[in-house]
Amino acid sequence: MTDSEKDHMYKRVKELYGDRLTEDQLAAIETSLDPMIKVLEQLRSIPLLNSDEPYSVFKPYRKDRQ
Amino acid sequence: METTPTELAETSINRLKEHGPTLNCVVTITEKRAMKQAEKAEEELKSGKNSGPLHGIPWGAKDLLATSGGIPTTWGAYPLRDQRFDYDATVVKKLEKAGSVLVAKLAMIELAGGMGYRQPNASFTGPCATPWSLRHWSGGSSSGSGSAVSAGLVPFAIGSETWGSILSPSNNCGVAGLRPTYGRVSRYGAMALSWTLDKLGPLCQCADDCGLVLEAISGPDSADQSTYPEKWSYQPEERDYKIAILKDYLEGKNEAVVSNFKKAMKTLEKYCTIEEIEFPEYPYEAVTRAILSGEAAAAFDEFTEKGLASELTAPEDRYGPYARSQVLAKDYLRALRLREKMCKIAKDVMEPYDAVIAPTSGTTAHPIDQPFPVKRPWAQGDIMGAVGNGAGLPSIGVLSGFSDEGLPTGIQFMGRPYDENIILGIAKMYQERTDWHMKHPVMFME
Repeated sequence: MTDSEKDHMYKRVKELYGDRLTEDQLAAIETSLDPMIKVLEQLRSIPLLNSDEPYSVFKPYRKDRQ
Repeated sequence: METTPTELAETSINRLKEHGPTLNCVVTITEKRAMKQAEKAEEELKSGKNSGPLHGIPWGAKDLLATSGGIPTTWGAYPLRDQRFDYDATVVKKLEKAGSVLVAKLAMIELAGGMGYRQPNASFTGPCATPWSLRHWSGGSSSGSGSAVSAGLVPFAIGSETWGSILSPSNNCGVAGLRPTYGRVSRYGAMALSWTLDKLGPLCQCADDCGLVLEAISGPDSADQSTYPEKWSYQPEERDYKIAILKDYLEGKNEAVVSNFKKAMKTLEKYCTIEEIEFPEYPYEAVTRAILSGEAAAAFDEFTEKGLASELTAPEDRYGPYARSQVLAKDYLRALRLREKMCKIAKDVMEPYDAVIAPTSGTTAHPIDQPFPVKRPWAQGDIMGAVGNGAGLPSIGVLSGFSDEGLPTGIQFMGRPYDENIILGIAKMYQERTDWHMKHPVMFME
């Protein structure tokens, strides 16, 4: 995660929702990105293999086979 | 003392009317529906039809469970104060089938805390108090469920937990709160905060009651594909247990919490072997937090896009949803990929043990009029909550004593998936050897 990624996230929030947020709220959002980025950095630091699948099960639906 | 379902419902409704406003724990009293259900239960019992231990017993629902008949389901949020559904949540239906009487929709933190609240005043019904001290918070997000049970306004209530929302009010209100295994109870008709983390569970006076209620509300449901296919029945095991405590977990916790926990351990040593364990280093909290944030951003996308957050009660909730809307899909999926490893770690660490014990919370109830000392969104420091919720593990919190201020402290028993009978057994045996659960807040005793 780089500063530019944080800037990009903040700019995108501002672009999408800036018209409904006050300056104080925008400043709080910018601050709240730091701990969020820390969490994402932790996740990205763990190596994964191509075979590591998301832990969720998708089951194709058929009424007679549940 | 003999009584009847209608007498019980009337008593409960009168107490909700009298004490609900003092505690800020009630949203809607469902009097008409309650009296109809109570009369039906009375007729059934008179004619010899007995549906079990909950037949004719009043209960309260966290106000995120859909209820038909024009009863509002507000999700604790001002902009949704008039929201109504034309169907009942599966849990509501199951309790009706068990003969229970729905007397109230109970207060909750707005959107179950999904906007990142950082203070008790984050509900359109106001901050909810613990019956042990009106100057202190009930905990949340199942605030009213904990408070109303503790004050004896309802014999039991249903709450929900995504991360801490049953155990927190269990701790602050001094009641038993059971977070079941993910999938044990159908979520159909409950507000979604995080589809793969949300669980519904009971808050009661004691562990034994939690078992009875869980039996009534659990089981497969075709409307919720996450439900476990087998029906569960309450059969607590009374035997010697092997339990674990996390190394260094008591460090930094409140003095009364630690002191009461150590006393509880002395009681547990009478029928449990206790060993110290460690979870290996892993970003447990980051994984669970990222899943919660990604799913909450999606679950409340429409709410957020409509700009409804600006009408929420807590100022921080009015901008809370925007930052997390920037979590990338690949990061959310990375968290889900890491989740499987986390579940395997939890399995390996917990496999030799019947339960892991810890204080239900590191603190006693927070002052009702002050912001939380630590930033909650993305906050670190709760490995039991992160692993427990991220891996879908059951846990029950019960009262372990009081602080010098008279505030409750709690102990939790977290088990392996689907081991509710084991953790209920340990908690039940603990309560048979102590009398904390027999103590009630004097202010609400008559």
